[in-house]
Amino acid sequence: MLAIDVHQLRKQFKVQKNREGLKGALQDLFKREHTEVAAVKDISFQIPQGEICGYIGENGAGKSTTIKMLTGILVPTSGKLLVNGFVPYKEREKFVQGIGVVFGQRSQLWWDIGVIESFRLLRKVYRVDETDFRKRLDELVETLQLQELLNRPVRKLSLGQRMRCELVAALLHNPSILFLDEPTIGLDIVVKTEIREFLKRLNREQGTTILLTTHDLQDIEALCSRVIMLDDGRIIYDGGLEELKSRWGKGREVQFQFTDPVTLARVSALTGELEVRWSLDNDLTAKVWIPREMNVSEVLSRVVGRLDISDIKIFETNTDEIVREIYQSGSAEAPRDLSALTLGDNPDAEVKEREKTGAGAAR
Amino acid sequence: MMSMYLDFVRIRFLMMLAYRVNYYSGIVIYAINIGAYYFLWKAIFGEAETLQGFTVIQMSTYVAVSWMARAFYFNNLDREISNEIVDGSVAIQIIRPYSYLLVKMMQGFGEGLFRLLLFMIPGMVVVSFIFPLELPTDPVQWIVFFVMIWFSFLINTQLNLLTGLGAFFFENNQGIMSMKRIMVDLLSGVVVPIAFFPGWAISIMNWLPFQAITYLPGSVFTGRIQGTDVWNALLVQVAWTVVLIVPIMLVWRAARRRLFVQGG
Repeated sequence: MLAIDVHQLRKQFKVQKNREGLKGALQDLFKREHTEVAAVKDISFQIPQGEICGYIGENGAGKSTTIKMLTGILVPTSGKLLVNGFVPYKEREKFVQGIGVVFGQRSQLWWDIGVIESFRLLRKVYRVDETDFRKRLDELVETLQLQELLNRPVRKLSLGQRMRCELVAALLHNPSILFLDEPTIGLDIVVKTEIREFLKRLNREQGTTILLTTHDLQDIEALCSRVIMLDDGRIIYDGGLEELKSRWGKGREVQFQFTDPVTLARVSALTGELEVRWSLDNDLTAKVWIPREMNVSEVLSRVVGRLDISDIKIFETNTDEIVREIYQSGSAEAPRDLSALTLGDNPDAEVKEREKTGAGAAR
Repeated sequence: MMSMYLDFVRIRFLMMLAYRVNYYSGIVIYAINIGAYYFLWKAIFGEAETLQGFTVIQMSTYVAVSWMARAFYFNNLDREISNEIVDGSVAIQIIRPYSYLLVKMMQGFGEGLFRLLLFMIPGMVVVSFIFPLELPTDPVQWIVFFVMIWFSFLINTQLNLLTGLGAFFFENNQGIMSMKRIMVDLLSGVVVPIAFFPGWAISIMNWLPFQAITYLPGSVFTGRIQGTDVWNALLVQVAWTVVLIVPIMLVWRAARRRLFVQGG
């Protein structure tokens, strides 16, 4: 059975137009102009039960809007939508019994009362049986190590502690689908790992379907077998993560730091007939893109003896890289060569970005 | 089901206890208000025995009881709802299997109950020592009064829900909320009893829900409304409570349709 079935889903918002100047402001006072903005444009996808699916896209791509429609918060403009066999916004009270939601940027616990008080209240809200509640709470508290936190007021928890409590709050009624909207935002690496492990275990042991949106691609790599990528309200990729990588991660890149100034022509001449692409960052720094089939040493051997090199870095394309490239081109259909990246309009900015990812990969 | 809603009452009650400073400052503000209006009315009465059928003692009783009733029915649900809509946390409320508006109402009730027990009743005792008041001797009058301020709470809370939900439709709901607040205070008879308004204004106000909030229970308590008229006053309150459900449901339904959760 399908956990989520979405067909030609669309959401349009009315946005107020503010006219310019004093005259415009006065006109606005009496008659408002509106423009229609489509946040989600006729998307379709199906998620079977028990799958962990990553939902990614740039800010404003429509991820949160989709999640809000799937959870029944927003009413879609058009299209069909079936979650757990319910139309979310129609039978709201029955439908929400079967789902759990965690918004990374919003708390669903009551700010002023103790954590355990919040849980008890949620037990009553979801009408969970007392013995079931005890059993489930004990399990969750143990796996997420919340024992000492239970009696503290929510406002005194750290972000990591709070997020673990949020997960418990979303799972107390044993939902079959869990929606996570940026669950690891702002968390340190230890808590992130803990939460990922927990989610994997939850999926394995309880068969919980999980749909998560995130900006942290390591979440995706650790958890998801499938990714849906969204850009400007449209799905631009839907499939396995490995496939995405093999389709896009076409090679590696080596960065040379020379001691003496070089020119593009000079370095290109070194590799001669090899199918590599050179680019120059500045007088002393050059990069060469090497296709996957070719050995890095082949290129290195040609450069090392001829020029004085002060530093070498090798960049493996990681998911971050791939995804950024897709975001920039706005389509996952026609992968361009990675080397095209560095030939962008603003090479300096690109270099900085790269070094960041390079450092990330090293760690 | 019911136990969940009762829990919201209980938790809000506990929260009010946790924020004691608000509580103490509230007592001071109400004491100042009652005192100020008492001396103001004394000055207005001057040598006169009665004004618009009010004796001085009736007047001070009316002032004290209407402020005390206000302590019970007053809440900031409009601002709470409006804030939750503006900052988007209303989304969390919608993914829970309960009625958001009913939960809000219960929270308001917890707040009212707290003020009734720790504020209004002790306050009334203190005020009755300081100012000359005339408290009803008939227990039925007391019972009717408490039933009536329950309806005051319901009507005032319904108006608050309605104005709070306005935030779905207006980018800035502040103006409407402060307008509502002034209208409730002025037209419900807290500031000036409705009998003091000119005739045409009274006939308009008879058709508005505000008088049912303070003026009717206050009049019953001070004995200005007696006999079968008491039941009429209660009937007016019940009618308004029922009538106001309609616009709230309509606004809520419309709001769900055009809900635009801010921030993403």
